[in-house]
Amino acid sequence: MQSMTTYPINPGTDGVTSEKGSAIRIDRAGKKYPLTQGVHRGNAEFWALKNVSFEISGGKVLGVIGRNGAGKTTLLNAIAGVLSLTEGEIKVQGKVLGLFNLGVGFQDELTGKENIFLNTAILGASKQEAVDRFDAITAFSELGEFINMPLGTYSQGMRLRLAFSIITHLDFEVLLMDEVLAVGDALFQSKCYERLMDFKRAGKTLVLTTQSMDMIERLCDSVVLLDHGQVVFSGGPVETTNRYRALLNSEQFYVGPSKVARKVFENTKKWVENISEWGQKLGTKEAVITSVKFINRWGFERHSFRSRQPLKIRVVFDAKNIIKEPHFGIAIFKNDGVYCYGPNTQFDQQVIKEIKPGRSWFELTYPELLLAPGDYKVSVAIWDKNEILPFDYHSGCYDLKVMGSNVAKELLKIPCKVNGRESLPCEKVLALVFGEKTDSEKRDAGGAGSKITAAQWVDDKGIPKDVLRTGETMTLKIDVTDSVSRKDATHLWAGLFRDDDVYCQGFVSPVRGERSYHFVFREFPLLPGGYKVSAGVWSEKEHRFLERRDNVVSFKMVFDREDHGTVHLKHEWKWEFKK
Amino acid sequence: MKKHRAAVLVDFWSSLVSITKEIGQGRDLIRELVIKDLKLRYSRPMLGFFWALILPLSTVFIFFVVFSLFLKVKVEEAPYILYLMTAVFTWRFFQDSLSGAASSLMDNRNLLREARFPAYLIPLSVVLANGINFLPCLLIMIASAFFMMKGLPAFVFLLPVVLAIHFLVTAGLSIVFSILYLKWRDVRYILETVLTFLFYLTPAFYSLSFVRTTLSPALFRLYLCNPLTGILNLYRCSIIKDFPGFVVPDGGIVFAMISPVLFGVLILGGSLYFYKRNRDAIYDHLSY
Repeated sequence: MQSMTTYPINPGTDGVTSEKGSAIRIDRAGKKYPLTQGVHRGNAEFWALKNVSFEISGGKVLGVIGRNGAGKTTLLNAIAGVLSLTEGEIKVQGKVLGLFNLGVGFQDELTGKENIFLNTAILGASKQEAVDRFDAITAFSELGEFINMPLGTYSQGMRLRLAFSIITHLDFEVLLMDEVLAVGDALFQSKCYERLMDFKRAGKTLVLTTQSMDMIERLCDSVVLLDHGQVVFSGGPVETTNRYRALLNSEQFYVGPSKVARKVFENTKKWVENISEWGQKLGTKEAVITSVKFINRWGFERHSFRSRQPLKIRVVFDAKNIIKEPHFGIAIFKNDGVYCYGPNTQFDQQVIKEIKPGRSWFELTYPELLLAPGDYKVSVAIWDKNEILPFDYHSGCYDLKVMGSNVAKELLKIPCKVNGRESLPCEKVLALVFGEKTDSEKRDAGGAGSKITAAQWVDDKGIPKDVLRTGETMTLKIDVTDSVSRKDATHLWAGLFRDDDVYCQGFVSPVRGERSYHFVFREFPLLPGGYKVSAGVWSEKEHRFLERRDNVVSFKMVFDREDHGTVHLKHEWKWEFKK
Repeated sequence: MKKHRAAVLVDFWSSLVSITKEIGQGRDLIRELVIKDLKLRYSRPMLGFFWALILPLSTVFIFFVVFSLFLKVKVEEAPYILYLMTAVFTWRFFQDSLSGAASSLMDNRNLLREARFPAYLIPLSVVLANGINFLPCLLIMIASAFFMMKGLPAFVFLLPVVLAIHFLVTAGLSIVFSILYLKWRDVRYILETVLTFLFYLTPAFYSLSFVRTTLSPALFRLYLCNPLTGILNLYRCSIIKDFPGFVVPDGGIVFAMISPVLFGVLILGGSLYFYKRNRDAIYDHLSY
């Protein structure tokens, strides 16, 4: 696992990190720059910092926020000592390291490995320390073979990986971070946060600047708001970020996310974001998921279930601290990464105020599992309120099996009635995999002599539709010619595909002399996105499609709420927290 | 008055100790910087480190063709090619170090902005890298002198001292110019001009005896005060077998040493003092 390769954090030396006394003390700090144009130096001057005073004690996280050019970077540079003050003074207890800018300290012509040694030396580590920590640094950065490539070939994200890995594997008392984490991907970011939380617990002092208010609110103990080089406000994270937002709004700098009264969602996540993440456990570990159980309708723990049977997922976790406004999420994926369904308590507008430290549990119950037989992966997560930082996130860590045969490689088991009778399961009637196209079938498609004459969606009032709403009753009408309807032992097949060609499900009806076939879906559960329908006439005698037409209808699904995946499954949340 | 002088000495001594300490603590960093410098120079070219030999040798070859074959310049002190080699090789170390170091603080502002460490370690590492560059040339020089003169002079034991003096002078000037360059970008061009001038002011390709007979005694004294002339004479004394005899009229090898040693100590001490005084301004000047 990841955590095994990270270098242990050395506790503070010489008792520097002890709670008493301040780790950083800034007294009336000011920095003046002359305003220059070329070589001519006028009398004009510019105060990048003016009269800044504050203190921070060891083991705390301080956030510095402000608009561009407010003096955040100048302040951090001054704390690190790579900038001299014009007036005032800054006192820092112990060693300071700073991660300022992704270009800083790196040589593009040198390889990642060579840069590690150069950088550790610049940051004051000895050769021996660099050699000792080299493996941990490379493992944490996850750069693989790229470690031997020149840095010029790196992307910004890769530079961040390297820079962050180097700096966090050295010894320090105070760590400064200047808006660099933003370029990391979500997976690496959460790894960074985890590491930062570890430092905090080890009594190190952190100073961060960022434009991410979520990060400030989650990580910081106190926050300083700078504007025009001066401290405008300092206090708790929430009150300071509120001031900042007010500042931004007052000067028309920023248009914050406003809540639209009722929005229609036209798309949603259809695939797992990062399949290589599966099996990993990420998060700040302020809450730790200790067990995840799949329970059947009789209350027994099982790993195999049947389609359309109830499924209950029970998650037990330990909260280490008081957790404010968390939300729970459970996602089911097909083992190839297709996103089936991932409800969370936030989408369901369930509000959880706070959880006290101790053992608690939550449950998600599906009365009817509308998934086709196959192997599935389940992710379980406890998120912070904005889904920025997981407290604990087990990505694809749990296997779920739906029993039965699935030769047609379907994804779903949605109920459907055709002309008043249940649709037949594909594999019972037709020994063919409908999800796959073959060349001969394509050639049969279309043409004047088509046996399928019409296909369209209508709502319950019979009005034609091509945008459908999740959860409403919809009917797919397919008409065939007389010649088909009179033929014996033929079947009509309607296949639902996502617009990325994932086969959702096929619906089959015997042809019994009628010319029009109504596939009725009650509470049609497909989630927003584009879909299409293929239709075919299957001859049981000849054991082939007499005709198959792809994409006879394409349609869109919309939903008035946010949800992830392909199919909406009815569900219910339940929880009980430590009192 | 006396007390004051003692205080200055104590002050000088303590700052010398603190700087020695600083350099000692920075030795891992110096090593990495030197490695970086050499890697940037030689890891990509196919001939790699051989360029450290090819370039000076080709200069010597060109000078030999021009001065000896076309202009028929003659020197009595040593075979002309050996005379040229000692001048060109040692000069290249000096010139490359200075011109590389002058812009080194600016070129490496990335590194300086990352963490606080003594900035003069950067020009120092440039000089060290050039010193490593100079080593193969030095070996060739000694070997050629040995074979052409059938032996080495007794003064060869002075060679490490000469190298140290040469290094002191180069390092001191490098640190000063690297700091000056931050504030005045004209320094690079001034340096280039001055270096060219200085090269012709040292007895590189003309005979020292020729200067002695041409200039008035007073002017010749002044000519010898140029520490670079002194250093070149010292190199030649410690490598070329018959050369020491030719400096005897000027006071011998001891006299040749006075000016470079004085200058070296003064310039290095002065440069570090200059650095201490401008330490904070360095970071300001990196930004604009």
